[in-house]
Amino acid sequence: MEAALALVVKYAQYIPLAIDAGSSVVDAISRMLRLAQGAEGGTITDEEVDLHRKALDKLIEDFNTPIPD
Amino acid sequence: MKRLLLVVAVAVGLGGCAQIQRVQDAVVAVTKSYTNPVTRADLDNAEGGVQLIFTGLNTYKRACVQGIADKNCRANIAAIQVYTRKVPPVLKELRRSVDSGDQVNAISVYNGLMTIIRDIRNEAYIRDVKIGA
Repeated sequence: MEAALALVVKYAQYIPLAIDAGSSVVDAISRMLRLAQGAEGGTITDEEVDLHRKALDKLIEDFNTPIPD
Repeated sequence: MKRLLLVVAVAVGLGGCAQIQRVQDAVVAVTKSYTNPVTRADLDNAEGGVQLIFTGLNTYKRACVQGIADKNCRANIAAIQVYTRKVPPVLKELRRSVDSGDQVNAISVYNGLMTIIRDIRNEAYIRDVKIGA
C-alpha cells in the first residue's frame, strides 16, 4: 500500500504538466493513475513515456520563449 | 508584536529553506558525476530534476510578466535563458541514447546535461533567483 501511494505521489507531479500540454484535468489524472499502476506492475507504455516527455518539453519551452515587450 | 513578527518570519524562512533544500537535493542527485551506465531510472531522475528547476523558473517568469517580481527580472531571465536554451537538444539526445542503449553517447551526454544544470543553478544563485520558491 505504501509503495503504491509513493508511486501516486511521484507521478502526481505530472498532472499540471499534462494539463499545460493540453490535457483535461480528468484526462491528466487518469493518465497519472495509469502511469503509477504501470510503474508498480513494471509496465509503462511508450505512449505514457512520450506524454511526459512532451509535457516536460513544453515546460522548458515556456521558460525559453522571450518575454513579450 | 515585534517578537511575533520575528517568530513568523523565522517560520516562513525555515519553510522556504525546506522547499529550497528539496530542490537542491533533487538537483544534487541529478548533477552527480556518472561513470556507470545511464539507466532509464537515471534518465527519469534527471528529468525530474529538470522539471523542478523549470517549474521554479516559470514561476519567476510569470511573476516578472505580471510585474510583481524584482526590477531586474527581465535581465535575470535573459541571462539564465543563455543556459536553459541549451537543454532541449541535449535532453533529446540523452533520451535517444538511453532508449537505443547507446551507452557511450549516453554517459557523455548525461554529463553534459549535468554541466548545463549546474550552470543554470549558478546563474540563478548569482542573480538571487529562487528556483526552489
